[in-house]
Amino acid sequence: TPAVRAEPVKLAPAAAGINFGQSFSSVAVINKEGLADCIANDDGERQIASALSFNGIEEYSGVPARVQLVRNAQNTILNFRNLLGKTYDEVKSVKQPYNSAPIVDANGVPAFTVEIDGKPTTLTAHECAVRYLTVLLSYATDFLGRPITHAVLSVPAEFTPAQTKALTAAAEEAKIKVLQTVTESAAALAAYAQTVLDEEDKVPSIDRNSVVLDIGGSSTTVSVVAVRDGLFVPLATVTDSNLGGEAFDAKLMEWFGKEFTKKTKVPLEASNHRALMKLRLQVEVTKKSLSASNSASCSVESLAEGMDFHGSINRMRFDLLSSAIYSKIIAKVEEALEKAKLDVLQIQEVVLVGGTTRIPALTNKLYGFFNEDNTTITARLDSDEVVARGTALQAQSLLSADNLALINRLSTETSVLSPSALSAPIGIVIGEDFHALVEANTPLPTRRIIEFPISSSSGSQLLLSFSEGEESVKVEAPPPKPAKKAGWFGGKKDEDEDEDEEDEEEEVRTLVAKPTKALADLVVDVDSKAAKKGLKVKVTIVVVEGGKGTVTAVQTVEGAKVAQATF
Amino acid sequence: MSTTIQSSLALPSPPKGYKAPAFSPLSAPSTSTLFPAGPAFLSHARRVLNQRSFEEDDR
Ligand SMILES: Nc1ncnc2c1ncn2[C@@H]1O[C@H](COP(=O)(O)OP(=O)(O)OP(=O)(O)O)[C@@H](O)[C@H]1O
Ligand SMILES: [Mg+2]
Repeated sequence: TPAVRAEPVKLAPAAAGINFGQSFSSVAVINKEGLADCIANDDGERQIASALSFNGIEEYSGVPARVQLVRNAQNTILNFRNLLGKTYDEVKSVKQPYNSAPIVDANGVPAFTVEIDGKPTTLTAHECAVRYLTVLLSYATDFLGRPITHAVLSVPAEFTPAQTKALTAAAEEAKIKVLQTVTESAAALAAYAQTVLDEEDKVPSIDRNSVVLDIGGSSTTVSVVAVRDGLFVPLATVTDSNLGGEAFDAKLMEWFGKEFTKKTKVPLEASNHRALMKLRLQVEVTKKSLSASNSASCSVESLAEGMDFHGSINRMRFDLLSSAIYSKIIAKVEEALEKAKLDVLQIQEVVLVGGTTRIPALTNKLYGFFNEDNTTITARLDSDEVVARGTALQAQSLLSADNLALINRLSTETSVLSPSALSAPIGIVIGEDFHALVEANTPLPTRRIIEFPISSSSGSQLLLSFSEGEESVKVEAPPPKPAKKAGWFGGKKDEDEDEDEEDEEEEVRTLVAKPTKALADLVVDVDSKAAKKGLKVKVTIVVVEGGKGTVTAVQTVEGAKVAQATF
Repeated sequence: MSTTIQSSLALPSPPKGYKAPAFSPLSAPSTSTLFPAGPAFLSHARRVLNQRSFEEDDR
């Protein structure tokens, strides 16, 4: 007898996270183990170039479209994501890269005129986005085996509401129900917040200041975010839309171009679009392999006048060529810290986002800028996948009706999105020292639960003095070197004993916190045998929206007396 | 349920003749904005929109 046909399992709507970028895009879905995974297209690429190209009746997207730039640049469309939601006037001065299709005016909105099937055809930026998103989603459908119906989209920090609305409209027209749009740095932090650590990973403190450094193809965005027990409070964001992977490609173009001309005596003229584009596509591959190994080759068949080119470069040379770019990136980080009014010593984490932060030297430069003892630089989640993965996890949590209802109420209930926050840290004072328990910039209401050890010498009561505090940076001159003793016979110092190198010691900067005003004291009873039994004092601090606080302390044993105070 | 932080700080005992000092209220809170992303934000939104305290939310 035929097996009973199983009732087709009503599949939950397939939700995805879409990171539609200016240069590259990625889509992530939740796999069977409940982990967010970036889908790969049929060429196995997880980052799909945001490019469209038309050649006769053929339509290309992704890397195949970028390859069309060599011989068919005028029918290839790039950098259309940032045009969404803009009028033609707002973007008419924008020059499209690599002689790709220029921006034209289609009754007031930016568009491109390309030849499709022999006919000049004008596609608005919106239409390009719909076409491209449809292709992107077809890759996800093939990968998942069923259509994507719902998604969360990431948006850049500098997107205006009009651009966000236009991006959402394009996705809806590509038959995607957009559950929410989330800022890229928030998506990255949300991905980390929902990813289980491996054993050897250092557990980051639940309260930390994080710098999200996102360097893509054409832009760099630095966001300083206060992470407070899983809540993300943006403090400052700076963007340079002219600083990205392409700057490194240009350095390699210059270097290999000179080498080609030296070897072949054939100059690479600026007018030779085809040769320059072939080299441009190859140097990007070389740059990526340099991120994985110490040296990389750069070969282009009949680069110019039929001459082949075979070059190679090592990391040291690449880093020398790129030193000005690294300094510009570090300067952007500095600018963001100044805007957030935070010192380098007050940053506990740097999260790397975007393809370009895969460059190893960048992490070394960042460790040169930050203090390695108190700042951890993490790219544990691949930097060019983390945004898509964060939006996929968000999409999954919004498949639950009541979570989605919460998000949909945000437009009217603005208090949820803009709560008040602590303007100074709350902590306890022991002697002269202030130990923060709840940090500044913590959104209200908030609660922290802390357990303290009880030592055998504790006696029968412990004192908890709660106070507001203030962090500052103490700058001290370097410790004086021990004075050189005169030679054995005293008097004249031997010539060779002079300081050979005057290593100019850097000043010593340390972060110090001191109490500013007393808030409340608690005296909590502890029984003397507590230490032996490994009992603790459990302290709970709650501060509500208006700024009123309650602290309680109790020994972790049944029936212990609770000490409580309010401030 | 917020996570419990383990501190290694050794708490002092009240000194002889301990007298509580003068206390003052918290400095005025500042305003902040939140990114509406991540599980902690959903819990925050649920507590605020349903006017539930942390204790009520724990149950
Ligand atoms: N392994 C790697 N090493 C170095 N650079 C890389 C690597 N992988 C990707 N890149 C570079 O990252 C850039 C693309 O980054 P990303 O995928 O974040 O794009 P994007 O967010 O669309 O960029 P943008 O919006 O700034 O134009 C390209 O310049 C690419 O060459
Ligand atoms: Mg990006």
